[in-house]
Amino acid sequence: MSQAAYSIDPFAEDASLIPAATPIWREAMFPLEWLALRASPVYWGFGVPHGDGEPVVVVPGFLASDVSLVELYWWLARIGYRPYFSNIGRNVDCPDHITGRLLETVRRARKETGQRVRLVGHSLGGMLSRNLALEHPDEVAMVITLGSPFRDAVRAHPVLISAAATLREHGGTGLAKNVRPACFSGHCMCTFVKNMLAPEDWEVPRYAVYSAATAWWSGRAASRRTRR
Amino acid sequence: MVEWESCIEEDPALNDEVHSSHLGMVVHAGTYRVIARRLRMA
Repeated sequence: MSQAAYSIDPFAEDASLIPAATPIWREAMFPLEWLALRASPVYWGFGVPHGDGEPVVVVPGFLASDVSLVELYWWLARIGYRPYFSNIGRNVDCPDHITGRLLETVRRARKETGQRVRLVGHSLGGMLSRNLALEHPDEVAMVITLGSPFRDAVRAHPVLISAAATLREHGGTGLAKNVRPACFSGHCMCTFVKNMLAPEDWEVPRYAVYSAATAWWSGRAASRRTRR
Repeated sequence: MVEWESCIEEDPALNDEVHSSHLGMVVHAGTYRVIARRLRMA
């Protein structure tokens, strides 16, 4: 068999993962957004409701680790919550396996506080949080997703889709040691994909935060579809 | 990085819009304001 035949990805065609020309240049604004946060009264806990020691687990997005959520973690502590990092490591492994690691953190937080846990997940981290809440509703009080493409087909920039394909190519090794050929695709039969494509009845309150930046770029009015 | 249509609940009451980049959502004052408000609803 030729080398080319070996390199064919049988899961490359995936109706649940659609390339989209999202404005990736917008990500260059990150440093300015971070500086604006530091200058905002919200950052110092003014003008927002405070917590009373409730546990909140923060979950990073695809390719990221808990380091990406340091600001959010310390802000939650400042406004009265008891934050926990997810302890899932770099978010590049099989989502079902990572959900198992996240569950360990959630159970520890619940044991230490005696309360059901609030999950705040960014991007893929929000999808992992929803997966955990659907499988273990008794452990979770609430899920808040931040820009998590959990609904129907994932429409993402080709850079992200290429990154997922690269992880599949290197599955079984390193940080992606549990990644299998169908991982990060709608072809996978795992619990995570089932819960994203066809979730059963929700028992846990969940809220979705999304960025309208894409809507500005494409000329579509996001605010017509939602309300504050 | 991802289209907003993939990121919303069917029920509009469960959605909150912020004006940030995708990566910048985790360091955005508007996002933090929404999180603080939603966490009190648990």
